[in-house]
Amino acid sequence: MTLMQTEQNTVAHTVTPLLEVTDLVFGVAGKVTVGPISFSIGPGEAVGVVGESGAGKSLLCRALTGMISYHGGRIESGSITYDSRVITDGRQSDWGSVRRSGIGFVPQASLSGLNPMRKVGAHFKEVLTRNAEDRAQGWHARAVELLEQVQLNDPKRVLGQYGHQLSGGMQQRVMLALTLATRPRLLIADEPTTALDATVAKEILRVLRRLREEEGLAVIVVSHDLGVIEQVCDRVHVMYAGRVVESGATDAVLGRPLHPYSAGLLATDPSAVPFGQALTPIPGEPPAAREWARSECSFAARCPHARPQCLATEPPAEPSPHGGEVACIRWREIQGEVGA
Amino acid sequence: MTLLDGNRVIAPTVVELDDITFSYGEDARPAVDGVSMSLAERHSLGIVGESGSGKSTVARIIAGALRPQTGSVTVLGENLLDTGRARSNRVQMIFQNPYAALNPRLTCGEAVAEAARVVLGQSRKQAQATSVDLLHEVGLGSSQASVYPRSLSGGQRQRVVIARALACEPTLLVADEPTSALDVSVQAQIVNLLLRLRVERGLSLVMISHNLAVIGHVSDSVVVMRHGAVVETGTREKIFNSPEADYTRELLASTTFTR
Amino acid sequence: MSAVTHALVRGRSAEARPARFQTGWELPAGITILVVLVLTSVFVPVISPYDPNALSASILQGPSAAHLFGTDQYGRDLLVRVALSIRLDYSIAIVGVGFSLVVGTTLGVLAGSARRSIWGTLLMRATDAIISIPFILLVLLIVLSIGPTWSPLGIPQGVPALMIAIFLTGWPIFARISRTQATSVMSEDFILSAQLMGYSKRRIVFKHVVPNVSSQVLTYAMTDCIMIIALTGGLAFLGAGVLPPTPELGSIMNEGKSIITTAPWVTFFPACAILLSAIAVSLSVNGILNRQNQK
Repeated sequence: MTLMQTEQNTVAHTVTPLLEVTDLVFGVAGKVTVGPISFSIGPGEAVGVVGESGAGKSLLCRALTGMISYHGGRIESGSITYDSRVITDGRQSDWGSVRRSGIGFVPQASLSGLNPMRKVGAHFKEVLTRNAEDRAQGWHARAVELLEQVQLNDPKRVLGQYGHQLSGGMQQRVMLALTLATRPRLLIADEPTTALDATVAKEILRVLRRLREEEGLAVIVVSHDLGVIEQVCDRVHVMYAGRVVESGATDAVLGRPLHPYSAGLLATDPSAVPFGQALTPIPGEPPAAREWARSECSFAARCPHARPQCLATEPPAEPSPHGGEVACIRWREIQGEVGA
Repeated sequence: MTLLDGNRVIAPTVVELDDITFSYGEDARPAVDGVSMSLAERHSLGIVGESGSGKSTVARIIAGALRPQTGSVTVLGENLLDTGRARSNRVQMIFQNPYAALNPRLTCGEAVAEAARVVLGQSRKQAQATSVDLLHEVGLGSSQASVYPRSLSGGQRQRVVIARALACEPTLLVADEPTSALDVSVQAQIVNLLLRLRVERGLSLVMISHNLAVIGHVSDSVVVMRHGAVVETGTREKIFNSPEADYTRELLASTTFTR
Repeated sequence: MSAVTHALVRGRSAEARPARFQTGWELPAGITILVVLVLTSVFVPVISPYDPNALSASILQGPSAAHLFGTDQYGRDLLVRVALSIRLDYSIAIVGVGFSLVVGTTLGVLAGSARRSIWGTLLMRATDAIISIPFILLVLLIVLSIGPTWSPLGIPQGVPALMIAIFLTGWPIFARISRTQATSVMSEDFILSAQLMGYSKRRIVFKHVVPNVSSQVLTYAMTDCIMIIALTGGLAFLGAGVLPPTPELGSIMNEGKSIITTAPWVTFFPACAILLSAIAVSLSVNGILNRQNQK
């Protein structure tokens, strides 16, 4: 059951990507603009997005699931291609079929995803009677199968319970199973373990890993927790103030971060710094969306390596040796300084 | 280094809990059941556990906000069961949600000055000066003294809460999940601030957290709690390097260490 | 990614203005209407050459330069009578609601911040008893038992009884609102913190609980005032409460109702005064609530 970390990282880009996001810029007019962000993900792969509160992570989830308009936002430019089909090119969007069966989304607050007046079973019945294949199997049998897939004990009993009768970990599993009921090929999980106890969180992450390894599900995990990303994802995108400041292979980015913000996050995270060694906080606090700088490096104000030239222009994303990009004009020099 | 192993008392104890039991209602399952622990002066004790472990209840018992039904509680040499609620304002608490811990109708400066005036008996003017000094000590400027908590960020609010606690010149700080509501990059600022204050002011510190990693950076000794009982107690080195209880091992394995 | 995208992003953010603090138009509009009404009620009777109760030959004249609001069937100037009515109705509302507010809030806050819940329970049962009786019925009962003609200190007949009735029926609501709010404030960490600092009970109640209860209580008081103005008018319209010849919005309308087809202005202007008061108060309350929500 437990697969080694290294095996995860050997998954290569041999197949055509399931989801391809190119230069996607989105936001809520007059308030937030996030992006540009580009990445691709194939079956069985996992991509992580890490960032602090207000970095634009949740908006990204909404953009990738075609729900951004419900939040008053819109996709401004760039494109999303799912299974070689263009879903949106910045002008026109076609989400219907993809949302129904292609992309599954597990939102952050799992309890609010369950109607308190209806039993867990009723939620499954609603989804599972729409599909002929599921109807043939019988929704109940299929629901039990799905709940077993997310390693929930005693699924039959859970189907007869209400959401609030379940523990946080069980609710999260039920939401995961409900999302899987639409047979998605890509799963987007927004903070899947936040608000869960550590031991429970570990179980949820194990389920996610199993789903991608055994079922070939593509997984996008959005979290503020580097540890969560590390356990599930082979590639990571570090977001700061609405931009991806660094991307690349998870091991490489977390092992030898190139962008000062990624490095700062690692030096400030108590679980990443050995005990007895002082934590190095990043000074200041993340800027609110209306303060996101677009004519300079938005991290410059908190960056220990900032120079006047950092304020001159927004740093472009350059290809990085970690197989991704880095958006810092001084990353080479800084690597030299740190190495020396 | 600590008095927890054996009976060798090296420094005087500031907190001594002996077999305390507490439940929130008469028929309720005890939130804390037969818990004992102690803390030596100028040391820091970490209490770690998941939700429902009773760690926050223990924090409130130590602070004197709750009174256990059985057992004995001695804090700063005062038996809290004899005197009722803690009357010593030498014990102060830091809370998980700094916004709820600040009166929205008082500016940050007023909140700190009020404590200096009432607890230390300072004049209005003295208290104002003290408040500016304390806010400065926790890393806030005088411009932040005149604003209401709602216009500060989470980290800044937590600093105000700490400054207000310092205005009482406490000897023991009880911090209940002080960084859980904060961003990762802000969390370390508060952890480092608490560590610095501990050294500079000779404070004793009880730190409650669900995050073993935070406890590992702050505490000399660690108490692991589960379902209202103590699972394991030991020095930080012992808990992290050679844990005895299965649950401690599980907790350690679940803490998502990035290395 | 392309340079064009960058330019786009930059251009867009340059346009995006920082979120402006929206003040809203409701509060200024509401306050303006209230100020106009109050100024009218204060100054018109002083300036006007007409005696509000003097009969004259010029009966049932439509609005004109001499009589802006026209005259009634006794030839009395309606502008002066309406102005005096506003003055009276506002005073009844402010005094009645004011007493309810002070007494109700004091009891509610004390019960809500008491450590023993028995005080809260007692208070709530007492308020239940009062609230369970239909409001208008209770007011009528109180007014009748005090005696509608009682007029100490030269206060117009019916007014003192009405004020007492408003107070007796009003305070339980204030007690309930403030107790609920005080109980929730008491469970906040800043109160625990104040207790740990050893602050006195008095300080905790006055500095930490009361300010956090006041905004809810005050907004309710404003809406309550308008209910009381409507009630005073309604009672007078039915022939209870403030007794003629004291001018009162409701009794003026009552006098005008039989001639509404021939002299609609007699009912129109007092009705306008009540309507405008209601609109002004609800605008102000909305404005205040919006402001609070933005903070």
